[in-house]
Amino acid sequence: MSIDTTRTSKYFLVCAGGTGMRCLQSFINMCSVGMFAGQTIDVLLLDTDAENKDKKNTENLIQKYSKLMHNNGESKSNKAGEFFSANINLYTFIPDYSKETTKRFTLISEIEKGDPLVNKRLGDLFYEEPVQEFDLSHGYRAQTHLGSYLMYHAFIDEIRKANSNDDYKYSSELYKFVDRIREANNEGEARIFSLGSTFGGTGASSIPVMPIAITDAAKIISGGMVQMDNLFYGASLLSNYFTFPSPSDAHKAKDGIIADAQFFPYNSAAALMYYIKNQTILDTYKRFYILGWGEFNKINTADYKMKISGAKEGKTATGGKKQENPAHILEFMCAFAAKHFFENGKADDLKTISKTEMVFKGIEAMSKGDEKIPVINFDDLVASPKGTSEKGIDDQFKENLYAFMAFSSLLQERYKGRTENFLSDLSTYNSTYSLTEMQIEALDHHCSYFAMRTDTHDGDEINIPGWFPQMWHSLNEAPEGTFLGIDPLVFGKAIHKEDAKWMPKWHKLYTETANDNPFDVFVKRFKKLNGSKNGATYEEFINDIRNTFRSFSEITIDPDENKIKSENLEEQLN
Amino acid sequence: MKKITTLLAILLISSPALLAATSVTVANINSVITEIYMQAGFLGIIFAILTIIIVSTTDYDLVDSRIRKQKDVLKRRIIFFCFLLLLPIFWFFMIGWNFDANACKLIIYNWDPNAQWLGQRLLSAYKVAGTSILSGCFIVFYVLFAWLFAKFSNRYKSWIVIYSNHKIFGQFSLNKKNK
Repeated sequence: MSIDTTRTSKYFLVCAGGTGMRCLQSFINMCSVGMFAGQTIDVLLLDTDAENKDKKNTENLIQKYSKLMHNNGESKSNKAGEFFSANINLYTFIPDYSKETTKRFTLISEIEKGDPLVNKRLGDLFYEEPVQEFDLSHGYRAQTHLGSYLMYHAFIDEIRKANSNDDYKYSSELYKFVDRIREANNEGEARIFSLGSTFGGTGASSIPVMPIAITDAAKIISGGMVQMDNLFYGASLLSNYFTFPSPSDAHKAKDGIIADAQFFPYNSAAALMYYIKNQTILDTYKRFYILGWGEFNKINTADYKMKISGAKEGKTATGGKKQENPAHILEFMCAFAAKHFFENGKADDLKTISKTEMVFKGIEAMSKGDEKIPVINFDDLVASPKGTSEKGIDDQFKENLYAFMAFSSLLQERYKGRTENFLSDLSTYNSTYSLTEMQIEALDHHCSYFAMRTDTHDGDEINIPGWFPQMWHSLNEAPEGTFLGIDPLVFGKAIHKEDAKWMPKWHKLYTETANDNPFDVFVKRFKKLNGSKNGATYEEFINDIRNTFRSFSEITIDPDENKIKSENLEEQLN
Repeated sequence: MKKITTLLAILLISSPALLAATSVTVANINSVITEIYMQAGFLGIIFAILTIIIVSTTDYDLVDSRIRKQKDVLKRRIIFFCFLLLLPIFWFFMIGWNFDANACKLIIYNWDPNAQWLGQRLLSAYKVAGTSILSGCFIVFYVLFAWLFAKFSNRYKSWIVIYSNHKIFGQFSLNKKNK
């Protein structure tokens, strides 16, 4: 994809591993619904598993996003602007572990060269034998002690190669990314935020070494001539929040080393201990955002896939083409942590931080029997500074998110995701917009991805919940009002047998559309606000859609009221 | 509100004041004929408003063309053309025919033969000019009110009957590029 080098950025995002990819998807969606309006963010996508489905989905999403982004946003940190108004430059770096000479630690380390016996003894000091021998093409498989070493090595190796060869430099996206950081450092400020898990493989391996790797790489580029004093590092430390069935014995025997979800809590605990005690980490990172799922029920990704596909049994996928987990609210919170890091505190204030600040916040919980249910509100994601008189950023974000969900779902419900057909209907009503084929295709993709898409499974066409409803599923189908105060029907919960499965009912988002014919209400309001247009631009289209939905009154369900109602009902029944 | 407006319109149409009996003389023939024209024009205006109200009750339709075609504009056009066709027919037959059947008998039998031309003029005013004025007013005022509604109150349903897809009746473009 082409990179816009005309806009300078001071925000840099490093997304590593499968969880990092999903956090990045959340970040892209945050930008889709109007955050970072008018600003530019450089994103480095870092993975070791070239075939990871989450990575492919993320790359695809950014490619489509780049066709939809525009420069119409007003650059303000406490403002939710127009859809797709943040500019995102994507850079990808995937250490190549598919070659015969790089697919194992022993091959990369050239253990057979020189004195193999001494080399092996040295290797054995740090790593067990299976760790030295497993195939790296599916990532670091939760072996972070090996992963950190290899990731740093891969980083520095790539920059050295690029620095010594102009052709290689031109093709190396990592080099370009680090060079942009170096430029931003020279201009006075570069904020680099890392997204990834603490319990998996690539993310957990990359986060500890990222500041050192980037700073060293930037020093290599500048020939060590420039002080890297204006680089500020932050990261989200995401502990285990999902699970999957343990791999079978046969699977374990075949792969030797394989990620096992039952060890994720221990991995997380060990990693957190390391993060809070390691002096290098504490010296290099300015801020950590610690995120975890505590006592709440964790989504089992295999169960989720079976529920959606209707299959009777699922297979554990810890990497490769089948690793595609549902979105989770914690990933979305990570994206907002990045926003917080980017926009809070001046560079001079960050310079005064000598030891990593740890940031965390609690979320409300409700009890349902023995189970604890999280109650997620918009101000858990983003909150305005106290004392501001304008409408809070959480409310603005809520309006935008509702609007985007409503639009995406309307497209699915009425047009099977075809924007072109929707535009044709609007044109009948004298509202004609000129969108390029590329924009239409990208919008189709993005809206389907966001709300719902259809797929063929065993010859049947099934609805697959989109990114936003997936978060509701990840909360084990959060009861009414506990997830952002939204009616579960909006996420596709069916109330009648004849209802299409997982079809989002967007009209339940607004008072005006909940009871009347929602399409009539929408077009009436659309025409009233935007009038007739002939040959209007894509930017106008996006803005008109947003304004129309934002003009409706949002329905917010209070989970407490709902709880009282159900308790009263239970009492009456007893 | 819509029901009240509809009821009011019906009451006005059937109001005896509109069709009140008047004695026609040579002295007042012109003013009576003008009254007939005004009656037709007024009825045209009322029916134009009534049609606008009725077409506005049809919901907008958003539907994938692969499933079926949008039908709301078609429904509104059918309503509009039904009114446009039925209104003059109704006027011509109900008023004109009634006049022809009853009043003409009076003209032939009771009127002074020298004043029979008054009856002929009245008949022509009802049957020919009245029908044309009614239709003309209906069309002109429908277009005018629909445009005013669209322009100043952002209510487009009635205007879409006349002008959709940036073309007149969705078919004829004023802009050569759109053809």
